[in-house]
Amino acid sequence: MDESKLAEKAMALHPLEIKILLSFGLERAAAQETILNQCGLAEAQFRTALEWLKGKGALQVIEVETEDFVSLTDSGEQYAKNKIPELQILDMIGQGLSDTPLSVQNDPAEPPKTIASLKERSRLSAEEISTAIGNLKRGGVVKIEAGGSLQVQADTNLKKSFNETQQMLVRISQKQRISLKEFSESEKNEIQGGYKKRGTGLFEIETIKRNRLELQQAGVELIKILNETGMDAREETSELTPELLKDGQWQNVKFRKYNIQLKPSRLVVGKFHAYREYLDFLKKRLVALGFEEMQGNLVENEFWNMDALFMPQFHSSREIHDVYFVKNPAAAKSIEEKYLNNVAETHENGGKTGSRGWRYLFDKERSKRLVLRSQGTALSARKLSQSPQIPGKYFAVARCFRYDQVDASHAPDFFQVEGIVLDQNISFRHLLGLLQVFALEIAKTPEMKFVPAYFPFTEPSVEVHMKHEKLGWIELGGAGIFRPEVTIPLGIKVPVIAWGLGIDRMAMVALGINDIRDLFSSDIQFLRDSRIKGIL
Amino acid sequence: MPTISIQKEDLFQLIGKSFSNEELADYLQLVKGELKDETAGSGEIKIELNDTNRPDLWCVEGIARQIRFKLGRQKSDYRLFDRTNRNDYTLQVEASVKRVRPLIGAFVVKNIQVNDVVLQQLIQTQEKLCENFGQKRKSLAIGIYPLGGITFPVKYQAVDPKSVQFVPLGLDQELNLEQILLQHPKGQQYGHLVKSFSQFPLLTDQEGRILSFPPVINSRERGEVAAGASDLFIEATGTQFNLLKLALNILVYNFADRGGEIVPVTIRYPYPVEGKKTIQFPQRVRNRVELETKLFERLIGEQINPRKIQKTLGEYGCETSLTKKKMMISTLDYRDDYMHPVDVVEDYAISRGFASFKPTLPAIFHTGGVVAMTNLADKVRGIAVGLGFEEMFTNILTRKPDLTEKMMRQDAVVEVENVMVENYSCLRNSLLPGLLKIENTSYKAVYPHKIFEVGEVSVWDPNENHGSRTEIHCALLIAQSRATFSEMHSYLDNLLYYLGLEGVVRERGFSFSIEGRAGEILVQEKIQGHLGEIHPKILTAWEIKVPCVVCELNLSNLLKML
Repeated sequence: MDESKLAEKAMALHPLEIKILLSFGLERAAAQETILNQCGLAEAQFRTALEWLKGKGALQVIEVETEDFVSLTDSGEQYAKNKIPELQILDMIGQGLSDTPLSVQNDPAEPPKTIASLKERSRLSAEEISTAIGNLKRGGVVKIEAGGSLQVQADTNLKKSFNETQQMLVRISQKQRISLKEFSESEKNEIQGGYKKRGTGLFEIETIKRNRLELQQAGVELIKILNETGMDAREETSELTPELLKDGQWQNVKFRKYNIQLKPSRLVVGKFHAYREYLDFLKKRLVALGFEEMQGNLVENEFWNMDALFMPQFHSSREIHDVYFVKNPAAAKSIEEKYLNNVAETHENGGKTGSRGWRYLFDKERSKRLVLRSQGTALSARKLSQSPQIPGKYFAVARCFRYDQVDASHAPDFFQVEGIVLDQNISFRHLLGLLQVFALEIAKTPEMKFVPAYFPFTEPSVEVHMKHEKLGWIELGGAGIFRPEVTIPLGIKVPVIAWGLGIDRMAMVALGINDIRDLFSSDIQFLRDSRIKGIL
Repeated sequence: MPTISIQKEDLFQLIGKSFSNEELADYLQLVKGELKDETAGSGEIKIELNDTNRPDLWCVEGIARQIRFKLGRQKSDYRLFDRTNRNDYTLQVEASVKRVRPLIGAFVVKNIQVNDVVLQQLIQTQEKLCENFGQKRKSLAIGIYPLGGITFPVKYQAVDPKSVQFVPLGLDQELNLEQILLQHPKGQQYGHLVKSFSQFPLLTDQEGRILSFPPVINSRERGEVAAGASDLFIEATGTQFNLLKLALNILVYNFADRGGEIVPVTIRYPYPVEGKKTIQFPQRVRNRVELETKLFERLIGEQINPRKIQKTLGEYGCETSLTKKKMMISTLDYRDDYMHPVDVVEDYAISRGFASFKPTLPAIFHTGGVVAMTNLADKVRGIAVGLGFEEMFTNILTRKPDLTEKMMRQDAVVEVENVMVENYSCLRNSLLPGLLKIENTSYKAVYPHKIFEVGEVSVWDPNENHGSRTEIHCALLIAQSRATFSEMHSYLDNLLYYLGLEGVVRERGFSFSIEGRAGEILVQEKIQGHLGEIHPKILTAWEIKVPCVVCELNLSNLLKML
């Protein structure tokens, strides 16, 4: 066999195997019993390890001879412990031949003298007593006198033989099993033929095969390597326990090697939702850029959702096919009066904004109509009216709702990331600069471009398109400078740049999913499997 | 945002130059247009136009014109409004239309080669203008007729719906106006615009022959234009004068670009319109604005020579005149979108090309931060994950029975008026139904399930200005063969402990829970939520086969205690 392979095999030997192999010493073959005794393993462990070694071709097992072994039956064991009935009876009538204390209930003051009293006081069955007294009488050990009282005679040979039988029982019981060869002829006779009269029998004879273990070439070579390398079979343990550490026993043990190449199973663990992780990442980036968070209500009125954003009330995206209207109550109780008047005037004729307005009759009741927030920009509009910091930077990750057929690319509710920057000197080029940062920092795009766009509330308006390695050119978001018709009626006199990022598709790419509905999956297994690969 | 379908060849012919698709896509930025797709081999391309304020760009002629300006192939010297007092064509309006549909304008075009492509484009433009610009014909509807079959003056009047009948386009039989509303597809689509009136609009010629039933349908006999026609009569009816004259002007310029001769039509009103009773179309549209030249620099963020601004705007079809500090800008009469000087700045930026602006970062500094609620929500999410819960994220829109019947609750919820699908017709008022829905779906996932969600709910409350209130809740659910109150109780206790709060649970029965195994959570003696083992009747309603124990907390309220 190849040297290195052999060495490898030696390294892979289990300590149990090593113990067996080393037990051969210089011999090439030995009786199985000898090796078993030599290695000191429990029989079950020994047999297991033997099978392993056979499998490795290290040794073979040869059946050579058989041997009879004597052991006791249950009755035999009982008599070994309590004495045979004859001796028990002799003990009871006070003439026992042994010094062993009586195990039967005995009243020394008045030993039982009659058969009837024996039967009453002994734990032996009536049949056992009858048979035993029969035996004793026959051998002249006892006599029955007038009145039924029992009289023990002087010593007889038979008395001795009862005693010898008792001693043999005790001997077998102590050793559990004794080879038939070790008994004298008379004992053999008694075991094989005699003493069956008690019905159940006292002895069992079992024929056992004797095996011989013979090393094969591989085994010899393994032993050689073991001897050369000094590999021992220190007790192997699977784990380091506090006990081992405590009493220092770790020094005497060897830690079993693991198969560390096995693929471990996946655990069910507490974990964040992958899409939320993505949104958390966005928030973190925006906070790092100095933006402050805005938050608002899911139910918004048309005033803040649209009017304040200079979307004319006849605008097509305000119809029932674009926005969800609330059923009950259908309208807000009130709109902030000051802003309502300013905005109404601006829509109608431009008011104080320098605009000519949309030139239609503004309906203030329409402003109260409640909708499910359809764009995150509603939050920006509200922020403008709440005395924002100037200069100031704000953002929101806002859940929005659009009247869309739900399919692979339209979710019933979705997220918009919105933001505004207010500053006296803010300009279109600053807007482009921020958008570029978003594209590079958040979307991590290698290539981007700015494209003219239209939004009712910004002018100029721009869309950011970015090149995605898998999807090609996709839209990252829309932006622009808020129209004066938006800012002035809300009391803001400085320019405000506003932007909104469409994040669903970026999140889908990050999560590796193709159906937007999976962002809100209700399948736990799917969620257990979902993750963001790498870091964001 | 209209999407139009055009012939590439037609576009290139109108521009006078051909482009590759990449070049074309770049030029389409001038019109906020996006090249959508090309039907292979047909030469047909689809373009999405994004500027809802520029209906003149929703047609191949308008797109070509804007590109010609950039290429220097277009001058602004259309002479379409030279009045020669020609009164060849007049249209008489009767007082009866005043209430129904008071406005009409019209013109005639002659010597135009109407082939299949031109006809197709004409119909498309008419449709886009009426649908997207005219609010689905409500404020604008356009009719086009072969000029040959019409004797002038044409009459615009309102008549009893049953008093007249004609064969409408697309049908073979004569119908009266009422029947058209019921039986003709266009009648069914647009009938609501006139239905509430006792008399319907009608356009007839001098001999009383019916031209059309505005804004619904033309007569098949007099109102069907076929390829080969060369002279056309075009009218527009509606409710907004601005829209009317702008839409007619857009068509006027388009015909002019295709070589047509425009002949005005004089409308005689019995009532004053814009202060006059006689109005000749086409009408001038003044799209003009005056601004301080500095505005360009302020909005763009760099110094720009006013002369260069003038040149760049010129390439966008704008006429400019410059004084010391101010600039006057105007456009041709097919545009009416200058509401504010900022609109001109955008024209300038688009004409110059967005790629020419160097992005720069604002110099202002802020520390930034999230609102307190977000901090609390994130902390709770972190603790829940640490306790071994998996985070869920479900839709806010849901179905009403999930919030009511299946939870055995009767609370009012925020409902959508214009429901699209039942599954997304209400805002959730609790996070529990969402988690139970997940349990219903996820029986194949290895148990135990320990899931949670932190998110917005909308609680109906008539005292609120909006009739509802948005709250942030946190809900936890454990599903396993032995899901017990005490297990959830200890998670809750840990959660509150790490928030620095102490909670007391007081027994209370809930419709969702098993009696004696549920309670409300009090923090600082105020109710902050509840927990309990889900009642088998609820589990059965959700078809959940594994015991569940839940807990829901109102984080918006908890925040006030921190």
